[in-house]
Amino acid sequence: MKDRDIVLVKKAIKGNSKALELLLQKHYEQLYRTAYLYVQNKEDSLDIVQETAYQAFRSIKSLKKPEYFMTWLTKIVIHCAMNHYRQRKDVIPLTDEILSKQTSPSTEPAYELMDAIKELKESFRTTLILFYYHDYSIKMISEVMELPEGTVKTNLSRGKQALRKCLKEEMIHG
Amino acid sequence: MDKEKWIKEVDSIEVPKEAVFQAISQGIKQAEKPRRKKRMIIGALTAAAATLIIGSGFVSPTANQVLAKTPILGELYKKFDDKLGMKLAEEDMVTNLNETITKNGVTLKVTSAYFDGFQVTIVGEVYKKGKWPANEPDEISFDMNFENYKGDADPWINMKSESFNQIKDGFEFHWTMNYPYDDIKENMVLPVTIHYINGVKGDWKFSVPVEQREFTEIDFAHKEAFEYGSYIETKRILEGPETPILIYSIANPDENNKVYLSKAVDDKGNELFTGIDSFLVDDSSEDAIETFTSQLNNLDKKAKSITFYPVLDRSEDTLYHDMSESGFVLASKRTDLALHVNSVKQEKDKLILDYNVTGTLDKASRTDLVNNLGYDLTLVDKRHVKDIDEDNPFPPEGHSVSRNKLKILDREKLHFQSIFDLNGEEKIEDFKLTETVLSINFSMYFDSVKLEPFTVELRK
Repeated sequence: MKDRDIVLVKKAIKGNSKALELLLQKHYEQLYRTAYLYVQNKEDSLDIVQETAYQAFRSIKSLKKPEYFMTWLTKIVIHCAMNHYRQRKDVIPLTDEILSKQTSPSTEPAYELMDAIKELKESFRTTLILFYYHDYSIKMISEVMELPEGTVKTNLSRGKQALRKCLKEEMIHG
Repeated sequence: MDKEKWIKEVDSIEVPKEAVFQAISQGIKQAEKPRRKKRMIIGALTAAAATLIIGSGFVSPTANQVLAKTPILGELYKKFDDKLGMKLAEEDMVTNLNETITKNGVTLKVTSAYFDGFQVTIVGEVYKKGKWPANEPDEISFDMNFENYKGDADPWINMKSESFNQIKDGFEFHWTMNYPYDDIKENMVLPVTIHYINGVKGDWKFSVPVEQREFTEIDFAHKEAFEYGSYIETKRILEGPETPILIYSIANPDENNKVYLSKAVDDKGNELFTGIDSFLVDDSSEDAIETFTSQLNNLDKKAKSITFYPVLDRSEDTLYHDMSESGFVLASKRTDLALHVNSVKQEKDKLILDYNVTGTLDKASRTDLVNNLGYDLTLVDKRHVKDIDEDNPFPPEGHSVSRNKLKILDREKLHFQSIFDLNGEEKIEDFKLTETVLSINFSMYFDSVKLEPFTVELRK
């Protein structure tokens, strides 16, 4: 982490909300996209970002090492996203996005990954998001998910396998 | 699937920057004032408000007090996807500043600015030959102030958002500041001072004229008083070429009883705005009065009056109870919500609490409760309860534990177990059960109370 960021983190730990806001703004894309990977719609992703900011401010005092800010923040966004996803997975909000998907057959090749990770077991999904998108090591994933490294390794290899299968099905049926 | 492909696909997820920034600031605001409103509701409303901003509000400007006139410049706004800027540039309603200042090898070129009644936006470029002393090559930071403000105590900086594009030897920048006052001063000039650019010290100074264009002010003064000293005061309506804007204030001297507007409807039945669509323009917390502006969408030209629907948001102070007894109840004073502690057990450095929550909770609040209990219960050393500021209730460091591991024993009956780690990151020095209190604040689960609507006549 850059020195300037460390200063901001230290300010935030002391309760300076503006400093925390700046830090979150710096990582706004990563926060939103991580949330999006779970819920795949704008409204819920924004709710998760809001909840993340809320939890971050309420708990930043517990962050002892400023240099671990990003890991700590990722942990919060992942937990918020998983919670939100658990609560909402039975409800499919009827958004414009979904409506437009239904009425016009998409010509875009993108989002095949998005569709595939939807099908994955939660622990596989989180492992893959952290590994591929956040570029985390097995050790860091085990810290964030509070799982033994062995379990992370298993999740990763089984998750990859499951993803491959989903992607293949997508190609055939999608 | 390789990492590169992943990142490429994930990066293709479009990010609604303004809405994300809004969600971040709302989340922090809620955490700073945890008793103000239920979080779930705010979440839902924020999404709606964000859509509004992107969807209509700013794309089509409102009380349009813009600036002097010059052509060109649409290009720079286009680069930053600033649709309002593009529109105003097209209509010759942005001010061409074209000021260039060089200090200590850094050249600042302020290109243009506009003011739409809500926000001041400034665009320009900054150059330097060679390496910058601070930041990564693709990063830029400004240390700056507006008017005569210093440091962080600057209302313009408070709500400033910025974006950048890297160009040869420098950056293009786009700053947007919320207009921090509730009235628009005539012929206002906004002085800007930059103290540092990317670590280079200097003083780059320039001014932006913030002029107002034609709009008429309609007197709309009315004061509606409520219990607990609260009142809503409608002030005036600004009528410009587009949507009229209402300016109103709300005073809430009692922290635990706050009045808000849920919506406004004209006498033809058109809904003009909901409370969340209002913009806070002044919230100097000392006097407990907040001033808002809100667009009166769909206001019928023949409307004779507007009816306002106020709601009361209730809260209460945090509840505390001695942990020396093995069974006790923390009961809300304003609702039927209560926490019944069945047992308290200490096993080495773990404190295990078994309890039920009772009272009226709707489905969303029940879900909230289950999510929050891991954070909502706090153990505090009795002697340090007085150190807690009710308005910003940080648990005192070294004398409290504000996290616990929650086990749901029976979801239907709201029966839980919370395990506090007495030897974790947070701890109570010299922990003694008899010297410890348990605290919870139920306010976020309180429902808002609808108050009697009131009507204000429109005088032409």
